[in-house]
Amino acid sequence: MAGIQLPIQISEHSREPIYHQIEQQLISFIVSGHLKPGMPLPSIRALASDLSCSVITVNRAYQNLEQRKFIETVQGKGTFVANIQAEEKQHVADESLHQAFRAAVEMSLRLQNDEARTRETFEKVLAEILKERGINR
Amino acid sequence: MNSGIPLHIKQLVKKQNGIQLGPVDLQLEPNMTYALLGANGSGKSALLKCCMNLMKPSAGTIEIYGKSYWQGETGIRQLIAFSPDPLEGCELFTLRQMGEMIAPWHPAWEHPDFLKRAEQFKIPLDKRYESMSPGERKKVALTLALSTQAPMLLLDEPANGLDIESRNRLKQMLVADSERIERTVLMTTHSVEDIRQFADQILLLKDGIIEGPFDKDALVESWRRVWLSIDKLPDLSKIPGVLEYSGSPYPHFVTRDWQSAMNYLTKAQIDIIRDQPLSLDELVERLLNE
Repeated sequence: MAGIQLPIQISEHSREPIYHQIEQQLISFIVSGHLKPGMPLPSIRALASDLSCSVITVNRAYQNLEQRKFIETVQGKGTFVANIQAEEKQHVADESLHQAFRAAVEMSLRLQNDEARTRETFEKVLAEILKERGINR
Repeated sequence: MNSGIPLHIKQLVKKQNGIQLGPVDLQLEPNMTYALLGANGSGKSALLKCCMNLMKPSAGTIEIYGKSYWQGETGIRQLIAFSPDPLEGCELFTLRQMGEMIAPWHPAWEHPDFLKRAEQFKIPLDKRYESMSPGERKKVALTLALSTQAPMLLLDEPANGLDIESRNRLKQMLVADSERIERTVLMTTHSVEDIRQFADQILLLKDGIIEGPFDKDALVESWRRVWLSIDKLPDLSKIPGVLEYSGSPYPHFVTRDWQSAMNYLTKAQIDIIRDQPLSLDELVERLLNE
């Protein structure tokens, strides 16, 4: 009965527009390899119905993803995950890491930490995680 | 498959019992589901009946994929189907009999598809309509309308009285159909849940006039409630789209243009504590009373 189910979660409370939330989550599944080239995606109507959003929103997300070559639509067959290039994968991965560090640094400054304190915290976290994973420096 | 505009209403006026509906101008896009909202007695059902030629408009024209009723009903009947609320005049018949009567009028009707829908909805085929519950009657009306395979569907309160399972089936049928049929749905509803689950666009019928269509998600994104820090309050008249303001104890306002309001507040360096979308109930009430 159920069609293609994707673990996409949208939040109306987020300031991020819904089409952008869909786009970002699909990109992360594709880049992380959870969605592999050639795997089918739900139709626009089906995904809109699952997420209780409008087809206009899903269509916009799909169009943007198609433009960025993450997915491709085959006339009469449906929409599929595209074969993305290694550089593109790397680019997206770098970008999300960059964003995560930015958010952490912004938080540190909001808490009135200066540059030295911020760097010190980063070193501490890095050392902590390396130790947890048993990696020697 | 069908070129042209699924439903095109021009300057439609219907006068009835001293109330005027219209002038209505409306153009629907293919592949969209529209929720038509309006208070009780605002003329939603009358508008659908005019589109089905069950009621004669006092003035104006209605075209379905470019065809008008005055050119003859035969060409139109396979393009548009209606699930009325309630379906009347079939008390003595069973669903099977009704299907047999309607099928010849609809070239795209497929008996196995009709039986499958009846089964998915769990409606007994040989039970008389008069002894059915309101929910079963609703499912009969939906089964008949959906089985016509018509690309333009008019659904009057489609989920009214349906149990949760049947409502899910209806949702799945509409999704599954859309893989084969370039379908446009115009539904009336009073249920926020129907809007959430079915609609792409919203139409408002207020004082006989149609407003919209509005993209549902764009509405939800732009109408927000914003709480402000008490330390520095802005000049409200300058915030874009502000509709309602409450000063104490927690200053907050509702805006219909969130992005512009945020830009204004950021520029004015006013702290925002939090902003949230309106609940769909509140949003719809505000839209209808605006």
